[in-house]
Amino acid sequence: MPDAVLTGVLAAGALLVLGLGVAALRAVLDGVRLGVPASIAVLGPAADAARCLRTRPSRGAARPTVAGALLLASALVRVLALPVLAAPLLGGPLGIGWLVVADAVWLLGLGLLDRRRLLPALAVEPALLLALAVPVVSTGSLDATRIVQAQSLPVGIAAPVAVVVLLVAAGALLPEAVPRPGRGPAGLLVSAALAAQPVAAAATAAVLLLGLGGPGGALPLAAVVIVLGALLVLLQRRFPVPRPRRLAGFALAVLLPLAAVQLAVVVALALLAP
Amino acid sequence: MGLIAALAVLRVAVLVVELPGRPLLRLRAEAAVRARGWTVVSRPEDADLVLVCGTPRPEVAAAVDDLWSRVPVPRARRTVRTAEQLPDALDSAARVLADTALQRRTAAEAPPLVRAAAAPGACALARDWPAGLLLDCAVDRAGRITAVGERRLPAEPEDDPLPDPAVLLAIADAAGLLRLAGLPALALRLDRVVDLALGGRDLGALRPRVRRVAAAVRRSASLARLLRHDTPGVDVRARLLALLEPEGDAVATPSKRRLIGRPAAALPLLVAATEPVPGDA
Repeated sequence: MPDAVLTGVLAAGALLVLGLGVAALRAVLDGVRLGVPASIAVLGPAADAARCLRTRPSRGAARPTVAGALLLASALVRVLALPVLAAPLLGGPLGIGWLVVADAVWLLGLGLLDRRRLLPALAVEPALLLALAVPVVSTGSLDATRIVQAQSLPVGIAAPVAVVVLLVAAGALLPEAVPRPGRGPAGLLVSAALAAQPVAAAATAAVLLLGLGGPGGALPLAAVVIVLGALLVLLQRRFPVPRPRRLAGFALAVLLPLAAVQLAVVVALALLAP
Repeated sequence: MGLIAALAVLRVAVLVVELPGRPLLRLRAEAAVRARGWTVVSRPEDADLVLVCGTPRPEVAAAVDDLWSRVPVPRARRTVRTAEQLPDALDSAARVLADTALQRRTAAEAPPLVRAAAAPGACALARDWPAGLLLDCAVDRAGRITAVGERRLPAEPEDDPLPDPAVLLAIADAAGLLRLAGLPALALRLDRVVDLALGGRDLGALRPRVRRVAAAVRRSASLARLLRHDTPGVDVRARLLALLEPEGDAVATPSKRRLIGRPAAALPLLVAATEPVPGDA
């Protein structure tokens, strides 16, 4: 098996394992609140997956199933576009443009589930794109491997707001816009995508803005992704789940100006640097 | 029993249906469900088990059947009339859910589900909706409520030995409001208080837990902002605090006419916030 494919398979496997960890953390936190022992609560995601697998598909289930598969594929594309262990499986001239492809796939899946949620999710995109532009401007490259190698000092130190915007927009807001389709294969795929997306967002921030990953960087990367993913889960529980319209308002009124100012600062620093 | 079935019945998702006049039986049912590590869900599409609390009268029987028809196979349905029937009902439901052969036969006999509009009255049995309340609402093109008609299904008085149930019902109502407001993690804390109180723990000893939730509600700027936007004209936060702190200032219950002009999307939250505080009715 070529190295790139092996790396891709390992990255996808790590995404699913860490996604399962996100789901287990959520189940344990809920269980602790209700007095359920953690040893039982931690089995919650496996039990939910079993319930979904046993469910007889309903008529008209193909569309939400395809939607769930697209949402999960989006999280996978996001990770495969990053140099997690070695050069990314999805690279080439598009570079981190694959992350935009991942967003498009996410939006396609969301649109298949519920067209009315598409506009609120689209409102998150401008802030997300500006946050992704920060490492590109800072390192002068679209190539994810070069972006990592160029960071003797992590971009995230000069651009902490970009880290926050990327995590909140991709890891928290995009999943919030997705309706849950209930039991069955669609429910399983959507649940898996919603658990994998915070991990994918954390990996994106860790690689592109903190300069982690690449050969020899897998362990620190995994540690940072776990910490960032857990932080996202804990933070999400502290804030009310916004209705889709409010979600769009927050993205446009708060995240977009923050990301714009952050990008402006990074552009100014790049121009001032010798 | 195969591995998948064994795993699936570890965490049965239960739709607890409260019939009018059975709020304490519903709370006891939810407590029994959570004590097994199972989960209480709000939509029939997510449920494995429909647990009906009370005797379905003809006017609600069709609505219960409608909820049941939307539950995918494997599924089970039980009706309990007293709290003493709960353990046996849950045990037998778990056996039915784990019986793969039986569920296959059920699947062969039941028509595949088709998503359809809920039957009239089904919403009167939804979780976190006042049991038996039927609202007729007119909504304009902008999604705002323009007229409201209110009707309640008849309820029988509940015979439960619990002393001072109003306090517990108020805490359970506050948990429902928090779920509707988008704070399920905070609602779980109140569910735990209700479960412990129903299990015999002194409610006075549980008061600090309730106060901590009230403090979290009071200091949450994001919740205040969200409620101000989503439910203009109805002070849901004050209502929450009135439910959690009975010793505090009394808050007058707004009339259902206050729903007029409000966004229909926030209807369940608005309705929950315009119900009488338990004990004040």
